[in-house]
Amino acid sequence: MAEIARLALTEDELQRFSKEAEEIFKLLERVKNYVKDWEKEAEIDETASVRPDKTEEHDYPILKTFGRIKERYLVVPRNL
Amino acid sequence: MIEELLRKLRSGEITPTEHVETIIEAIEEKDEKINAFISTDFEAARKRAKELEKDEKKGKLYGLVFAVKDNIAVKGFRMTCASKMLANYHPPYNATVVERILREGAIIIGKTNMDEFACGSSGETSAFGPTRNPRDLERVPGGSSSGSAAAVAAGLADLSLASDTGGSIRNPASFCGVFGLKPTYGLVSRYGLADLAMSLDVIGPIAPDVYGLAITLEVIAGKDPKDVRTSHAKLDVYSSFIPIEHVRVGYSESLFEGAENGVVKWTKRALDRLEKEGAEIVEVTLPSPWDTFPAYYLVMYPEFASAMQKFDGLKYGNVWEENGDLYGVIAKERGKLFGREVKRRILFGTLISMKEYVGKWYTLAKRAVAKLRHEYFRVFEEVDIIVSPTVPYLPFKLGERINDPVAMYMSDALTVTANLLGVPALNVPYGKEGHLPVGIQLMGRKFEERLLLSAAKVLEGECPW
Repeated sequence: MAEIARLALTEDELQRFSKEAEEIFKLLERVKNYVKDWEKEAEIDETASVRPDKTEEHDYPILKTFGRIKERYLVVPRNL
Repeated sequence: MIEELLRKLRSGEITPTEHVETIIEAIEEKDEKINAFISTDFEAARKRAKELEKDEKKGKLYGLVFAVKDNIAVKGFRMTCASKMLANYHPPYNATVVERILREGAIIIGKTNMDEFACGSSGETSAFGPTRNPRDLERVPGGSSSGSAAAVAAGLADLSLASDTGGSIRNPASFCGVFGLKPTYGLVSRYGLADLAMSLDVIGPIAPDVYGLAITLEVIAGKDPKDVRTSHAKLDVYSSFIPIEHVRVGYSESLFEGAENGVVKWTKRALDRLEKEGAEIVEVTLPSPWDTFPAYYLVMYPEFASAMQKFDGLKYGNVWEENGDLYGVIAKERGKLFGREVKRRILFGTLISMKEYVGKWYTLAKRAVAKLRHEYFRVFEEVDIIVSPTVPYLPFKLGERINDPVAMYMSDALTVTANLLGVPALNVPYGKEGHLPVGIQLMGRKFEERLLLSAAKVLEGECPW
C-alpha cells in the first residue's frame, strides 16, 4: 500500500498507473511539437482556478489539513 | 416535437399530470436496461404537475419533464456525481439553472447517471453501473453526460440539463442521436455544479430537437451574482431562428484526420445541405486536433486534482470506516471511495502541478491554448461557423476501451477545442451508419448561439431520429 496525493493505492494500482503514465505523458508530449515554433509568451489567466506556479506554504492549519497538497506529502512513482 | 408538446400542454390538450404519467411509464418500462437514472422521485413529479395545473402562470417550459445530471444540485434529490464518495450527499439548495427551469414550469423527474465526477467519455465509470445506449444496448452512450443523453433519446424525459468540460454534452448527444449544446463559457451560471475543471465547465441542454435546446437556453442563460464568471452579455431570443443565407461555413480537412469513413461522409453531406440553403462553404486551415487536444488534459488534470481535495471521505454524507491518524484515514477513505479514472486524474494532476514541474506542463498547456486561440480566432474572422464531426468514430461496444485510457481520451479530440477557447458548439444528429447515429459539430464565435442554433435548424429536417 502506498500513499500518493492523499490516495491510498494498492501495489497493483501503483503499477498500473505508472505503466499508463508512460503512455499518457507520451500523448501529452505532442503539445510540445504544436508549440515549438510559437514564439509568443504564454497567456497565463490570472483568474484561473488553479495557479500551480504559486506553491508557497500557508500558515493556516485548515489549509494544511484540507487545502491543496503540499510537496512534502507527495510521493512520486520512480518511473514518472 | 418540443414546440408541439408545449402547445398541447399550454392549450390543455394534455395536462402536466397526464404527461408525467406517460414519462413514468416509459421509465418503468425501459430504464432497467438503459440505467439512465441514479435517482427518480415520481411522487414529487406528480405533486409538482398538480401544482402547475393550479397555477395560472404558464411559463416557457410549462409541464415539460426534465432529467438533471447528477453533478447539478437539486434540493430533494441526492447528488452523487456517480461516486461512492457522495452516495449519501443531499444538497440543501438548488443550482441556479434548476431554480430557473422550475420558475418557468419545468418538472424534474430524476437525476441522471454519468461518468464518475464527469471523468470519462463512455458512461462506463459510474459507481452505479454503466449506462447503455438506447440505440444499441450493447454499445456505450458516450459521456460523461451518459444518462442525460440516453434519457432524452429513449423518451424518458423531454429535455435534460448536463455539463460539458471537454465534450461531455456533445459526445453522448452524438452517440445517442440527440441534440446537445455547450454554451459560451460564462453564458450559463455554474452555481450548484460540482466542478471538474473550473476554467472549462459549462452547463447546457440536451434535447430531441433544436427548439428544445433554444427554449432551455433562453431560460438558463444570463448573469448570476452567485457565479462571478457569468457574463453581462446581452441575451438573444434563441428560439427565434434566423436565415443562414450568406453565412460563411468553414471546414478543415485536418478535422477529418483519423475519423471513420461514415462519419466523414455524413459531415460532408451536412456541408452540402448548408450550401443548398444558401450558406457559403469555405475551406480553412486549422491545426490537427491530434496535436492539440492533449493540451486539454494538461489544463484539466491539475484543476481536477485541486477540485477533488475537498472530498476527504468525512464531509458530504459519508462516515469514516477506517481508524488511525488523520491523513492516513483520509487517504484510505479516498482510495476506497474513488473509482479508477478519478484516481488517475488526481494522481496526474498532482504530478503536473508539483513544484519541480513549475513552468513545464501547465505553462506548456497555456502556450498551446494561446496558439490555438490565435489560429481559431483568425479563422473566425473569415467564417461564422466551423463544421466537423463531433466524435471521430461511431459508438463502440461496452468494455472495448475502458482499460485503455489513451484510446478513451481520443474520443474528445474534436470537442475539447471549444472548451479551451470558451466558444459555443453543438451536436446535430445528422446521419446513420447502419443503426448507429452520426453526430456533426457546429462551432461558433463567443455568444453566437443563435446563429449556431439557426444552422442546426436547417439540418434538423434531415435528422434520422
